Amino acid sequence: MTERRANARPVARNTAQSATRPATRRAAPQGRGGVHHAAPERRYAILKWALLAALAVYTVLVVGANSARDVDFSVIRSAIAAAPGVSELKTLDENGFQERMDATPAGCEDWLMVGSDDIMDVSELMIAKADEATLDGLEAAVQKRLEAQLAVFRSYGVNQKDLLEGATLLRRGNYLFYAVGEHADQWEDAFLACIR
Amino acid sequence: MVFSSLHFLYIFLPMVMLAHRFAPRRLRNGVLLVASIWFYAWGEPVYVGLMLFSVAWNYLTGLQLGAAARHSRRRAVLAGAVVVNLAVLGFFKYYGFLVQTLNGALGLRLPDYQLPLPIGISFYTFQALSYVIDVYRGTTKPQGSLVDFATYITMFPQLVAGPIVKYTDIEAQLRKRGATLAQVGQGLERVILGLSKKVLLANNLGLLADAMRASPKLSVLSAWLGAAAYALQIYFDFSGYSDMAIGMGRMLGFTFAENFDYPYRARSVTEFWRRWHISLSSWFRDYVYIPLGGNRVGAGRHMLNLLVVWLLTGLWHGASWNFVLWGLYYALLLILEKYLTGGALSKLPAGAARALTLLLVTVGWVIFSNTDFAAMGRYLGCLVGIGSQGFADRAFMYALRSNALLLAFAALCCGPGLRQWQLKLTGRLPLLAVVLFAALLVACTAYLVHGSYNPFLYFRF
Repeated sequence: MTERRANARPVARNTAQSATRPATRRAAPQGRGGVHHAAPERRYAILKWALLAALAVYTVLVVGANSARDVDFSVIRSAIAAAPGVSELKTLDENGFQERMDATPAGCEDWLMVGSDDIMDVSELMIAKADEATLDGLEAAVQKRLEAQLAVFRSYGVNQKDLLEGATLLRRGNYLFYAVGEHADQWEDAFLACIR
Repeated sequence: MVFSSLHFLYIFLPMVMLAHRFAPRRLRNGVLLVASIWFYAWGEPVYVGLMLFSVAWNYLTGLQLGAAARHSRRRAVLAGAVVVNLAVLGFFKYYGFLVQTLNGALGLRLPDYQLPLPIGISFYTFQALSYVIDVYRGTTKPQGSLVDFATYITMFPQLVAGPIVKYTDIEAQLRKRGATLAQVGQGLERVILGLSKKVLLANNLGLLADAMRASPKLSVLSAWLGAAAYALQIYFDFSGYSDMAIGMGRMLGFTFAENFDYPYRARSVTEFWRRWHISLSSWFRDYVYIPLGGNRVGAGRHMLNLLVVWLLTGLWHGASWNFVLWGLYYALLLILEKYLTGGALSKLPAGAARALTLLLVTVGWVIFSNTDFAAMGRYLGCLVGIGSQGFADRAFMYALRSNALLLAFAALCCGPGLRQWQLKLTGRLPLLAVVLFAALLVACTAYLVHGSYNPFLYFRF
């Protein structure tokens, strides 16, 4: 790493500024609507405390919206099995998963995937529970899967294209949820009900 | 929103440029601010709140520093501001990494929220930090206008992947700026150049790098080909983004400092880091390295300073151990260069010094691109023939033949020669510039129409 010592030193811009102590180098705020110079520093401190409180509330909300209860995967399986339209789809094994997603579910703690046997039916649902790195890889695989499916159906499958464009892909805690199909919203509700 | 998307290029950018151009001067920052929030909210509606917190917090900190009378108070205000900025960055970027590490090492069961990374948080946090530190140091005055300050932090050309623009560099332009038609043209040219680097070069090199990495068995040469393709991909990807940011800045009347200076022509690792991601290196130099004492200390302390800076540089790139290792790798190389091999390196012929530097940097990218240590180890092993499938194989010959033109052209673009030749030629024949850049734009558009999702690599930092 190179260094330019001069950069470390403050540039005196005001003749009243001392070169020794930062406290003496204060300058009035600039710009349109500049705050009155004599405004008490305390007012800014109070506003900053209020901001910190807002940040705390915001963080709790963001964490709450993104987190997921650590539930037994069988609970999710049962809820999804009871969701509309799922019984019409085939449960896929590891090979089926790999064929469709071009990725292996081996790194997952648990997972489920259902899809249609009919190549003209784009309905499919996948839920995986895994660590962050594995979920990153699976999320990328889902993106590729969606692109590939869109490339196939873009030119002639109007309904399929609409369903693919409305695909749901979300992450909550250790879970990845991906769904395409007429009932995708209901599948999502069933999944979220389990982990909230 | 991604720069290399049709929506951005043909809807967002023209609309914003026109609105900015025809808005009264006093409203231009407002226009830019609204556009920047729109740009960010497109992909990250939830995290707009976090960015606005950063704006408000650092704006108030600047004013507070301006109003505080006692030196001790100013120090306390600065310390508080730095702690809060780093705490926000730490929680949203590193919390999962820390928890996973602690849970793994100590057998704890701390909750891992797995929050999505707020895009651009490392970039805008560093910009905000540079501002408050500069105000504290007296290098700049506190910004009184919230709109102007928010424009600085959120400005969409450099918001999500840099370059990290120092407040002092654009302070005057925030108040008053203008762009002549010629400057707008130059900016547009730079945007198209950056887009071409990303879409035509980086994306295609990425396919080659991914194919090599996905291969279950690699020969030595296949491994090197994959590593070289990644080295070229990340360069064209990131420098392409920087070109676009600088170009858009110019179209808006801003002058952003250059972020790359043909880094693969460096003759040493030290020189490489003077040429690669210049804005980040400068930031660490000005706000960490020099305050620690820089190189004007004893050898032991200097080595420690380098270690600290490179550990932080590695961590800045991501919440993963491979980035820490990557940072340590560079700390070690720089220490060796400074205290052991520097003299010998300077005596090497330029070509040999460049080749050696390129080799070291390419190995560095292997560490950088593999978050999985087992995969990293396998790949590094293949580079030196451990666990590889021979020295060369058919896959290598096929990949080389299929990509020879792309690789040769990419290698040519790593030096200044082609660009200088183009500038000379189009300087003499301005119409040729129009034809050339229009053709590049058409080619990029064609790729984008049929291409797939292509995020910039540096988005995840």
